[in-house]
Amino acid sequence: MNGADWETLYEREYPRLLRALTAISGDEGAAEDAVQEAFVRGLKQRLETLERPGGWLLVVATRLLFRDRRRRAADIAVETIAGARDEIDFAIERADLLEALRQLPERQRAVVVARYYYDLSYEEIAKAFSIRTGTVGATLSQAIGKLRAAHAARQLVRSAMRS
Amino acid sequence: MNERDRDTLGVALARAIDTQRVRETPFSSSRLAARLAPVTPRRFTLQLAIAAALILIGAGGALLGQTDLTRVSSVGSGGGQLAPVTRAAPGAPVVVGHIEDAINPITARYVERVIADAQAAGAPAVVFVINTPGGLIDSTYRITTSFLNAPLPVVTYVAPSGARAASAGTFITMAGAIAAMAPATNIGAAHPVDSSGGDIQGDLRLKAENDAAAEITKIAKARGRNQQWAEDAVRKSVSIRDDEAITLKVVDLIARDVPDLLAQIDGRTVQVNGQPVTLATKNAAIDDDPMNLFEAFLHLIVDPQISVLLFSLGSLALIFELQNPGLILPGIVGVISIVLALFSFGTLDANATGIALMLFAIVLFIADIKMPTHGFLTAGAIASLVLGIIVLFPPSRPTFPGVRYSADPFTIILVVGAMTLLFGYVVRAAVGFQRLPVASGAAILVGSLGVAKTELAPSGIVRAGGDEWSAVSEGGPIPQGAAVRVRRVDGVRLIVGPEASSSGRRES
Repeated sequence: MNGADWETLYEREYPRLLRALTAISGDEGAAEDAVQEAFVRGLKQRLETLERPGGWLLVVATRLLFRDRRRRAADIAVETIAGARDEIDFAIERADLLEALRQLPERQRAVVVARYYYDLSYEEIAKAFSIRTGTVGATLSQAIGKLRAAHAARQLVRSAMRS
Repeated sequence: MNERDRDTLGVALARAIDTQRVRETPFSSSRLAARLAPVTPRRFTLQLAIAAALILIGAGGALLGQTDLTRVSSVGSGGGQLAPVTRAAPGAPVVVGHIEDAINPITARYVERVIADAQAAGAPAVVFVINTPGGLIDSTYRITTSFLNAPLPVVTYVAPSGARAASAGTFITMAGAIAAMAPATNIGAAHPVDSSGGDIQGDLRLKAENDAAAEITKIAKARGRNQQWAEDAVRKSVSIRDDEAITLKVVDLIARDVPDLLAQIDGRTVQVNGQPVTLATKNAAIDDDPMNLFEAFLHLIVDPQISVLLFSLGSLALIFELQNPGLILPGIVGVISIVLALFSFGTLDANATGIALMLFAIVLFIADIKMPTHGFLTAGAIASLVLGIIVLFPPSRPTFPGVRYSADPFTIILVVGAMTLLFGYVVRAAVGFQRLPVASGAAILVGSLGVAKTELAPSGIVRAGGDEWSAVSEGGPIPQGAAVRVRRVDGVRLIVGPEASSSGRRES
């Protein structure tokens, strides 16, 4: 794998990876730090031999994020953009969802992101976070339950505010 | 909870994560790129090339300084032989120049310019008001030579009261066809010293002293002044007041101010290049012709204090650039400062300096095409080009009609503007055109229709543009075989939505 290959890989994976890590950490600075470092780790790990470099990068970046507790404590404000007209509803819902995600413990966040955003299998997630496959399912169930509750609560508040 | 419900929330979540705004760091500034290529050899080569080019320019400039091509563009000698005496135009004003502060190459060039202006305007005479503590011997001789060979009467006038024509000023004052002093002024003390004002010792002293004595007696003889006193002014550094200067026949008259001077010299006959010319200056209009902005700037630059500062600044900037290759700005400041300092020290003459700066500008313009550097190179090139042109072709005052021996500001603006446009825009555009990204790949699929080969829940396989792609639906699950439209491309994944079902978007 030469420099050009690395560049291709970087350009393909970087935005997605950064979004995943930002969702997990709630802090883009810390997320970027972890993502950048993950790519550098890839140099030593013969990333080209991996079948899914994206998944590997996610796992490494997440571990780096957990290890480097350099994040500022406060969750950064969720940006509520005033985008194109019909995107505002979506922006609100996105903010709600990300806010709900942030209510979860960080480990659960990581599992949720790995499963739903990176489409990693239960087995891959179990291996990545050193937990049993059954625990992955249980964690996901629990997380989704909490997410739905938080999400529903926020939507209730919002509709109450509208009326 | 059922599986479908969970997946719906998962899809919405994935979509929410995927549409977050993040700062996209380009590969070139990523840590990975830094690790892959710790030293970029190409850039270093380019820097080396620039350094080599600068050394060559410096060497070339020094050679030019030796051979001295200068007179090509300047005035002194060119017209002199053809038309030794210029007839005064009726009613033309007397031109008044000012020789102030230290005498240096800029003063000499200014004097030549004023004489040329006066000649072009058909002035009956040119008056130089002198108040100087002295200056460089070479520049002084240049001034006295241009006075002795001037095609029109040159009047030297030490003024105002309290002024002095010390050391170099003595030579210059005595070289006038008519020399005058204001009351309470003095002249003399012309013994040569070294450039820091210290005593010269030994044989060198003898050499400098004899040379200066020969020069000043030559001037005194040519203008019919007191040769013995002139020699004493050099050898014994004698200095005298205005009234003594009259008695000793060092100068011709005492005048309160310029109009008084013009009234007093009216009707006198003086020798101009060996021909008698009678002055008609009574009640003549006066055209004051001080140093223009560019000359004043250059005169300041060549001040010895400034030149030492420039040299130090230039050296420091160059060291800083070499320690941190790629900063560019210190390098440009360093080169320009050093070239100006060499000019200031007299190592490079005006032509060599101007040519060196202009060549440097061209090097910078070319480098600018190759390396993107936030405009430092362009700015440096423009600064260098403007300085170069100013030093090489000093802009004259645009008010005088007749022959022009210098570039006028309009020409400078035109040349610099054209160069900037050419390199900054046209050439860059041409080079940039070769580097256009290839317009192909997955990006051209955006907006096209495809077919879901598998169920998209939310991800799966889509056939679009004759190829199979891994795809993610952002409009909820899509059954196998349904039509989809490609909305975006994320790396190698297509982000698709269901076709012909607008309500699907709000499902989650």
